Amino acid sequence: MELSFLAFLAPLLMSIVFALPWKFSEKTISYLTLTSLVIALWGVFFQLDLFIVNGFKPFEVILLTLKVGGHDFIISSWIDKFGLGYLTISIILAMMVTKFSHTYLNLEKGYQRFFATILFFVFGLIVLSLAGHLDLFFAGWEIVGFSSFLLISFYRHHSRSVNSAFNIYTIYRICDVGLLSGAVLGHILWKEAATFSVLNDLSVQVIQDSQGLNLLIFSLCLILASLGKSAQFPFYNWPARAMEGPTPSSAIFYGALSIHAGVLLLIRTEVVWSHVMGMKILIGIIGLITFVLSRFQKQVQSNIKGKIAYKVTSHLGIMFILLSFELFDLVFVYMILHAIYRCFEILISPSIVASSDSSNNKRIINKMNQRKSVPATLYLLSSLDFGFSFSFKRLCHQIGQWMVGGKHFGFIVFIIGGITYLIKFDEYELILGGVGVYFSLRALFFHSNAFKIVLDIFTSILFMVLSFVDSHEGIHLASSFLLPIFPALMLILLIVFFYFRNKNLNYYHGLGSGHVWQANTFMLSFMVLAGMPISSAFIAEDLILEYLILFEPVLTLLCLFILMLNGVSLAKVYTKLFMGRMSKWN
Amino acid sequence: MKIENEMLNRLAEDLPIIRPIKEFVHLNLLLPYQNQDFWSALKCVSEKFESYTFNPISFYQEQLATNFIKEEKLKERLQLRLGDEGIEGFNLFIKNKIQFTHYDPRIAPMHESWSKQAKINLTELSDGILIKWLSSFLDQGIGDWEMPESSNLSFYHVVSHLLRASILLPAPFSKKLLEEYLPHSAEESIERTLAVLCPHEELQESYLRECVMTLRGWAGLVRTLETIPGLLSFQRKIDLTDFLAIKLFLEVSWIKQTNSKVVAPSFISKDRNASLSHIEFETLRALQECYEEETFQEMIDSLKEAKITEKEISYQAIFCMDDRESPLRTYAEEYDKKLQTFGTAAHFGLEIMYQHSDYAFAKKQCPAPATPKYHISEKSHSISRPEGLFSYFKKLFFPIIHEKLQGVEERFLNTELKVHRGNESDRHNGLKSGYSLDEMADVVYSQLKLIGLMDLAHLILVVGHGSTSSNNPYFATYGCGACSGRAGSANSRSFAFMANHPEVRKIIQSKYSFEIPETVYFLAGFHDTTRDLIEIYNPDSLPSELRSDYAKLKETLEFAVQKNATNRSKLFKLTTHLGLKETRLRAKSLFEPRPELGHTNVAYSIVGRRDLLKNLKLNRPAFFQSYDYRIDPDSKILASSLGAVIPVTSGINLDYYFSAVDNTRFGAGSKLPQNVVGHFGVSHGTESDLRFGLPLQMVDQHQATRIFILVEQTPVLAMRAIESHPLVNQIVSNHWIYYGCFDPYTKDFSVFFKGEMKKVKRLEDVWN
Repeated sequence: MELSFLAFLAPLLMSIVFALPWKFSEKTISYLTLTSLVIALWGVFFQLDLFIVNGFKPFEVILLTLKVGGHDFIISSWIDKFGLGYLTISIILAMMVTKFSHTYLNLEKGYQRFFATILFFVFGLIVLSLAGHLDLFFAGWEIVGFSSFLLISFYRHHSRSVNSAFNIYTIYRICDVGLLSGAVLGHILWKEAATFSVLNDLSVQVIQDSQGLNLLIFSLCLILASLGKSAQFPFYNWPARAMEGPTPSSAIFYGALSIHAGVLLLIRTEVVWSHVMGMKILIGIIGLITFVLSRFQKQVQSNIKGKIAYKVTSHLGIMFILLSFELFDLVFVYMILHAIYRCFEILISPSIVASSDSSNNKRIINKMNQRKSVPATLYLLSSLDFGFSFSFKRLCHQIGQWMVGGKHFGFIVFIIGGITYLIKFDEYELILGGVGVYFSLRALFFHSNAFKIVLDIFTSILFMVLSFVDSHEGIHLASSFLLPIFPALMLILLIVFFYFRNKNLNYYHGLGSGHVWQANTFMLSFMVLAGMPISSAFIAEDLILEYLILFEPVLTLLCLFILMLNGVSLAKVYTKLFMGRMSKWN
Repeated sequence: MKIENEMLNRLAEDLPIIRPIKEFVHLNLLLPYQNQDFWSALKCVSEKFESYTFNPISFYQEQLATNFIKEEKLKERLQLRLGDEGIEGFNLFIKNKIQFTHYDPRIAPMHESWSKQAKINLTELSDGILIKWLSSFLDQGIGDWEMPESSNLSFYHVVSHLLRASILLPAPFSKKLLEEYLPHSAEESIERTLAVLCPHEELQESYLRECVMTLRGWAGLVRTLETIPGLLSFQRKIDLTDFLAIKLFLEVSWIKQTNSKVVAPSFISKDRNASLSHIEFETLRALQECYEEETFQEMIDSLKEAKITEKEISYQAIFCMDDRESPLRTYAEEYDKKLQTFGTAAHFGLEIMYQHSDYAFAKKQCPAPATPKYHISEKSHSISRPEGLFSYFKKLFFPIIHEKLQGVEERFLNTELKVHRGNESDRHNGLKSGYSLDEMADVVYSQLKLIGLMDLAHLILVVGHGSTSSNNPYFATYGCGACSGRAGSANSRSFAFMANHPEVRKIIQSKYSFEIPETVYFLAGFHDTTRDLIEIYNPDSLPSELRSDYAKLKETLEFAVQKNATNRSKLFKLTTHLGLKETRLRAKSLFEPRPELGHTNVAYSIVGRRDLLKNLKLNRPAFFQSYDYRIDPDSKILASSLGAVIPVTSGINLDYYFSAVDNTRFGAGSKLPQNVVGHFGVSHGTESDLRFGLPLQMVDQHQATRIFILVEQTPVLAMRAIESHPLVNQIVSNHWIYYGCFDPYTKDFSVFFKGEMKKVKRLEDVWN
């Protein structure tokens, strides 16, 4: 039975094949993509069959147990109706979009890249919907976020697209902290990974008895994670700005699948948060605010994709409200139907011009003549996103700037960190972690020179490792962490040092077309460093956090921040150096 | 600084002309530069916009490798252009050293200095809001709420009203800002804001130039709406001053919000590398010249063999001169030797607004520069096509079934048109509602004379054309250029009605002493160029003696569309099965970015007798305007013919030329990520500049050449024909097109070069 899970590797395999430097013909690509999706669909049906045989009861399948230095990393799968339903629809929609795109992207530069990314995304969805525990769920979640980043910046020479891609990736990263800390907290709560089977067996009694505060934080983490992915207040403005890739990719990501992942997360973890009244109220209020605000903003949108984006967020708001009433089955059905409908609506959005020019135009005239005139205040606020999209970004920036401080702070903090490590007084780990966070912040907010940013990232990781490397187990974990991370970091450092030492990151340089291998190596190393599940760094990161949280919860949080901030900084370096404008023509 | 009209005109010079996307018209994308020589305009533009103005270098290398461009000739030409440096240019080219760098169009040095000074991204912050407001203001039906007062006030006052009437003012606005920088008039506002943003008087114009150049699309639309009023169905008052005033006001607001005391930076001029050096430019010019000359040479050589074979004619057909109709005509003529075809601009001389009974607004159905004087309406009928989501669903998954379920296409519906104006004083929205009999006679006779159709067969088919495409905001680009991008069926039907009218024939007889015999019958038809579908209107009305001819004609046309579809489908890269069915499916397919190839590769425009010139070796598509030199001794008819042909065909050709050579600067970029804004335009994503020109998918198979216009006339008369028309004269004498003539008496070929017609054997001989 475990072997049937191999079918789910088909999309990943094809994605890797397409990402290799060999060029395939469009027909081959489309054929292979469809084939791999059919194989994956077969896998889903196989699991569905087992699920039915099991009497519609969810069950767990343990696929692999990886032993890393005394710790077990279990790869398991949790099969339930929500995951299976979501996955079935995902793969069918992906097949539809593949068929659509095969013709639609004909002769487009980046045809292969598009399908590689879509398949990577589908693999992310598979991991996400079949994951047996939160750590694995997080892996799928990350893949979805990253492929989203890649597709928004599909037109790599368009600075606005790249800028949006970076901003949205930042929001994703911020919210990922929620999911990752949730996953790690699970280890405290249940002394093992937060598997869905454990969650499923939790009784109300247990939840109320044990560790009320931890559970509360756990729920908050999950909610934070779902806010980012499912574009809820205060992050509800990004889908309108994410409509930068080819129309089919916008359709499948922000109309259909990626954007509903947050709702799926909440449905699957309902046991945890639905017993706390406060959480339900919180979710309901967030949904309500999102609904109202995006409803208003939808009314003033005068471009079709922006309008659909706000329609999507407002419906997600309704789903959140329904979630707070514990109507999980209803929300699930709603979510699936909504996904299909919106996917379709975005796909046909270009035809709106023609329909306004055909016999439908009488309808539009009527609409225009009957349009409501609203108070200026409401119109103004709606057209300015109620001030949220501007102020949020600036707030982050100002806080960051303030925390980093002046020019020589870096040196001082480095010395402090060094002395702390040498003397090792009480709680020195926390100071080292703090120093690490400082350098991560400095990389993101202070520098505008590529090399200095990478150097600061290097320093922050150095201090992070130093903070837990004292014990025997710590050394063990650190080495397993550094084994993939160090070469990746060195590669980035060398590339930046030798080729882009003096590049000012206030501008886009768009050097990707002239420096192909540098761009690709940078990208791969970046994925390793960002903890993407393509290298063992992902597992090592997980185990380190798991190890740390047992004796030093605050340090865990600091390490999380370091990882998150470094991901954002690297994305910034990557986009500014390699994307954003055309550097070479002909 | 006072805002003067001259300064605005100077700013507007570099703005593209952007019509609402439904009213698409092919125009020379460098229209303001048309008063310069072609090459100096290219040079000027490539420096100004940092744009590339040639085919890809790899393309020329390929041409050299296949010996299409001869190396010897190229070296000679380089010698001519560059003297001793010629060989250097050749080496640069051979060694692949010519490289072109693009810069971000949004880079504006003065704004950048400001961004540094105020530590914010000034352009991004202010453009985001400006674009939102502009598109909401101009919106034609996507937004659900109307921007308050937008149908009454001008843009500047609408924004001013919006901010003043609002109880809450979010960042970056404040009451103080409004009072200070939003005074009663837009001009005054610009004066005040410019004093903050750019206190140096002499730099103010360049500052404003940056403002419009970073948002070329939007500024261009605003300028176009200002200069051509009435383009939008729901009219809006806006001009470039409003645009600038609000843009500057937003910039000031952001700057004041971050730091109220910040002062203008000293603007440092930033050196950018010239896009192409002199040697590189001239080398590419020589390559392009050689390529064009080689392309046209084959046609010129084949002129010697042109001759007319006498044949019996039993029916005639008038098509559009469009290059997509030419192959169809050739196939039909080959299949049936008794068919004679004519080409003309397919508005057939009618300058009308056409009111479709289902539509709310009348549409312009004549060439873009003309102003319609007549209004023709369709008498209402009650067949409507549902276009709901379900029908889209069918289209997406089952295009074949959808095609079958589709039933009647509305443009084939045999409804009645109100062409005749019974009462002389009938008016509709200030337009004459229909033609009087006298006016009809003028239209019919002048049209027939224009194309030299003086020997009438008994059955004459008048064919308009249009296209069908789904999920395609650019649908109007495939329509009939002479009908402002719409389907020309209303014109062909009206023309047939006029020509069939017995009273009209009588007037023609008495006024022009030209007889249209009673036995002659005009039949209207319509050709869908995407689906290759020919429909004939009302064949039942035919007199019984013409029925057999009609049946044959129908068979011929069926054969021709079949063959045309098959040949066309060979050009589509993805089609596996060739044939009519597959080609037709493209039109209905929701995921087909290239429903047809439009005017791709068009390179000739031929004005002359079809019988003589149809056997020319044309390696590229050609426009074919019929013209008979024998009835035109003083070239007046030629002059009026060229007055339409040259601006239209050169417009189409140069639109394709520039969109193809630099799709990021002149063209609209890939259409895949595009987003429809307010029913009037498209942009990349949600908050960016409006795109203009043609999308990549329309021009990616286009090999850019200028168009060759060949007329059948003596050099002296050909010269006289262009001299009478200033616009045509400008286009020809500045070499935006090649203009040649074929002397019907001596069989010599001459080409226009530096103000005169030169008799040559080969095109390059003009340089000697």
